[in-house]
Amino acid sequence: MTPRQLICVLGVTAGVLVLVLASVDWSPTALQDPARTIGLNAQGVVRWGEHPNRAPFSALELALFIGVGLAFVVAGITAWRSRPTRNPGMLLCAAGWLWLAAGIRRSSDPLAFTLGVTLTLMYQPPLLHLALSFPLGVLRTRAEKAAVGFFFGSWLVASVLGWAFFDPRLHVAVGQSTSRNLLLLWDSAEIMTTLGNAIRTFQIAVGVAIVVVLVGRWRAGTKAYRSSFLPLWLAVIVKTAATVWVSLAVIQLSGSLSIEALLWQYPATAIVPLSVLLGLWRYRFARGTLGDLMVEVGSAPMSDRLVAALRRSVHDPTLILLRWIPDQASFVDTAGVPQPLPDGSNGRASMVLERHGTPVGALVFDGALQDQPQLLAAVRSATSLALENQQMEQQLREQLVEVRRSRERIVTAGDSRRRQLERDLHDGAQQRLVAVSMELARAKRATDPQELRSLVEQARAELSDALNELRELARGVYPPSLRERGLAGSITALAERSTLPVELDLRSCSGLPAHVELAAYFICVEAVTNATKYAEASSVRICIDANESEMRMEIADDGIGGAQPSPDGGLLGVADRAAALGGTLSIDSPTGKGTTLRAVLPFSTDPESDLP
Amino acid sequence: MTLRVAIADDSALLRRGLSALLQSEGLEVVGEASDGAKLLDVIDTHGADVAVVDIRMPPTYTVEGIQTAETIKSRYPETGVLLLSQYVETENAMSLLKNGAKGLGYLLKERVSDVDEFVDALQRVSAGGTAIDPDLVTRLVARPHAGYAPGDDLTSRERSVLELMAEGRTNQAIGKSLFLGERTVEAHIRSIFLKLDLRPEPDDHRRVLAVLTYLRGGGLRRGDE
Repeated sequence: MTPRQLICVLGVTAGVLVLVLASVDWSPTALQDPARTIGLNAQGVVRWGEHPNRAPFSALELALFIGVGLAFVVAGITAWRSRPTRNPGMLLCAAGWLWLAAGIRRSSDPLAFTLGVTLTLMYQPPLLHLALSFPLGVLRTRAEKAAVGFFFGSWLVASVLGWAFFDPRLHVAVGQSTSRNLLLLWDSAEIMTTLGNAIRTFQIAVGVAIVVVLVGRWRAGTKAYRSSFLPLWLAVIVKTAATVWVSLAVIQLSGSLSIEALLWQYPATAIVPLSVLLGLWRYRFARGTLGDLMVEVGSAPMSDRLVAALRRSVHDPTLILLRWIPDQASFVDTAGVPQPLPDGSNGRASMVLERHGTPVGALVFDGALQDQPQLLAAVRSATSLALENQQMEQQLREQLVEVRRSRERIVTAGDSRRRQLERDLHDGAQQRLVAVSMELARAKRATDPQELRSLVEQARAELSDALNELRELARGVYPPSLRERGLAGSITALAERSTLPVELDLRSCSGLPAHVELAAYFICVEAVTNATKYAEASSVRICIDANESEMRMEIADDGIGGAQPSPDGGLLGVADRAAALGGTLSIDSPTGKGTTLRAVLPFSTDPESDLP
Repeated sequence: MTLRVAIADDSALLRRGLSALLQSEGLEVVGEASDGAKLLDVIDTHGADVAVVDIRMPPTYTVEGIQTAETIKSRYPETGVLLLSQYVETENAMSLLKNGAKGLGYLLKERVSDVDEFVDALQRVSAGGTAIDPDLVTRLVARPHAGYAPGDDLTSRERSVLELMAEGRTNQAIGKSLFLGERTVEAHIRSIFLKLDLRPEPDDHRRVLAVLTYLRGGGLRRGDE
């Protein structure tokens, strides 16, 4: 509620009050005039006029009357100031003003009197409007709007008709009423009574119909709705009881009892705005607040406790969280059963949670929650955050598992490479060197120059082989050309030694960090080895390009495809190597369509920047 | 005239072995150095017909030998430089020869054990010729290729001639090696240059460069696209 609105409401209230106070005729005749008794219709006036001991209008009654009107306005302002919508507050204020305005029937001015009696029951349509639209004050359907319009119209028509055939000056003991009814067509007690009964019957029927509708809503309603509507039921009961009592008192009771009964209608009516206020407050409380949400979700951001926390914080035990399954293109519940999102017809509402434009889940909850867009927005962001957390936790866990596995594989691969190296050295170069040693020992003892020469020549040949083997072994441990000529040089050397034609497209691959070059080299070696040994390829194409932050490579052969990274294979080893650098390696190897390895190796100097 | 040789290798064992081997072959070793800078000192002081340089030397143990060779060639164009390495790589060869192949050589270290061949290479290089390791040449010539390449039209004899030519051999040496007359060798070479669509080069060292450049540019597979 803006300060301006508040000033307007207070101004109108003050204006109406001043009008009423100024219009009251305090002359003894006027005070005794039954026609000016607040709240009575034509029939009531007749009955009250016949009452011998009726009390004159008092300052107390005026105070009670004004008190009720102010109770409406104050409750209205309070409701207005608290969200979700301003409608209930406006309706309460309107009811209060109409109630107060009816006070001008205490005026001796015919126009004021006539307006006053017409307005007597006009405070009721806004309350009916409120009851039908409780707790938001917003009419949802066309039928509801039509009904409310009908209430206003029919109540006005009833008031006018009720006084059209009644001249108070003729019915009350002569001289006791001076009120002039401007609505009077002609005085007819018969028509007035018939109309009065009809109007009462009509209004009771409307009241019953509304009660039936509200009972229906109560039964289908949510916890929040019931909780908020409870005080209104009490108010309805009290108000109805008071009305019945007043009717009875005016008609049948006598003496002080009937005078009290007339006064009791004021506190009974005042209960209405207070109960509305209480109901709205309970509704608000029942639906929870942003604060609750933050506390609950903040303390339980992860896993299944999230749903429980959301339920507690929005006071909706029926809330469920559905997960989005992209493959099925549907939302599923915790049991994995696809669930359609509610269409709003059964009091349920839903909210799809998205991340980067794609759904990740949906919340299904009580439709009443839609009244609090701010709370819903908070629920959305809190849930999205929690889901994101959950997803990240999941990813992190998977990555951790993969990192552990990969670390194990790297160590195992290193071990087996060492074993292989030891075996190669033992079976190859070492054996040859032993042979050389023996040949030289024999040469030392040889006496025949021919034999000596032959032994030395054998030793030299053996040494040459040993050297070749050592060179190849060393190359496998670390490619010398990589150190000498960088990645391009080593890939060129690899291509030259390959038994397959290797086409190179090396665009920008200089000045890369050594570990990236080594990884790239070994990926190429593995791809070429695979193409040569298993893929039955006839050519390989290596394409490498790099920018300032990452290196991309693609190695494609035209072989049989179907390559799979197996635990003991080299492909997994180079994939691990790529992963260890924070990069990725993918193998695209459809059967019969060749094998393509794609790797992206980032070379950030800050290891933390590669973290997800 | 005795060949005056300077030696640079970070391994003292190899330096001494090489020095002893060359001296026993009647060559003069003017000095030994453990890195490129010291070798330049030796040459500055004593002069040399040819320097035998290890490619991998301090401080980075990568291709210091190539840089040293460049410096020597720029200061003493008449001094030959023979690079020795545990590995022979095309990229290194091309880097070494980028300013011309005159008086330069690049051989596997173990070629030293074939003393006659080695001394022949030293003499070739010191005389302004070229010596490229046969391993490297074989690798380039034997490099597989997809589809048709002009090199496919070469006869096996021509292929042998091509390899020896790429190693930096003279026509005379090629003839001797393949038991052919010099005119036959010349005929083969003309045929090779024609088939590969190369411009004939009069000098041996220019010829080496032309052939190596051709081979490196995709082996014998040019024009198969």
